[in-house]
Amino acid sequence: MALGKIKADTLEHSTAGSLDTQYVVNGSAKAYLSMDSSGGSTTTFFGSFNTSSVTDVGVGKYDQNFTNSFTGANYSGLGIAHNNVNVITNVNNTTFGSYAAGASGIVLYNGAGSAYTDVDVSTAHLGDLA
Amino acid sequence: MQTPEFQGTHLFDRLCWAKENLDGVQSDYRVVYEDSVDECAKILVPDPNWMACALQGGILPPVQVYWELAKDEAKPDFVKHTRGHLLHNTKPVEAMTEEQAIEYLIMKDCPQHVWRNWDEGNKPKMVICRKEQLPGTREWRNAWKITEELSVTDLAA
Repeated sequence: MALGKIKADTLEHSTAGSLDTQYVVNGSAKAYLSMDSSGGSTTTFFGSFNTSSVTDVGVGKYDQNFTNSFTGANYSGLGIAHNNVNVITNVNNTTFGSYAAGASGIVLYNGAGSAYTDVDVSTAHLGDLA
Repeated sequence: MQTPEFQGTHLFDRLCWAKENLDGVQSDYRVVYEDSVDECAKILVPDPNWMACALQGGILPPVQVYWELAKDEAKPDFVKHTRGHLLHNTKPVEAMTEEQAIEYLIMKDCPQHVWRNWDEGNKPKMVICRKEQLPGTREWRNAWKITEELSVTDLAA
């Protein structure tokens, strides 16, 4: 089966100017994850892409493992969680402070920053793929 | 559904094809492992879309490709991957059973020092179990450990 393909360097609007397609490629999320980390003993997936597994590291700490790694550790991870919980992504849960191209740490902590907690969380990761 | 000939196709494009054409498969298997005596047990949960790719075959690269990338990443002067082409150009693996897929996933996403030496010690460092065999709630989650009652000999038998 052949894959359909459109090759273009630029998208041009009739009146509103043009856009280099590299902006579209670079600006798209390369991985996402939406999961329930509080409903049972282990994680339940709502939706995901480019994710091979999630490692439950402990209360409020998870690793999202990528199928297609990023080219390096300088990608951007965005996260949002329920119940006024803060999310930090792209941290290494084992050593806090180092980063990895093949996995992104997800840390969930309450609004006061005083305790880790388990809630539903969604993440998106942007950057260049390996 | 027949998988297209994907060798040489960017892995990301393959995943896009899989997302479009395959239904996710949520495995009931979980991998529990301990990589530090000072930390609680970690639990690896397979992703449903990834599992669908593994069962379908012809999509995922051999796990050895990830090991090569991990070697590069472990170098002190690592900045960015220069051998990402291995993910895209290496012949994809054939369809796996669910059990084979879990073994692959362990070798990809668990630390090598855990799965290579899982049976060296008084108790196993890693156990594959069913979801139902885990505690029913996350109470005392940060104290979870692999039970002392399991012996490596029992598991091997």
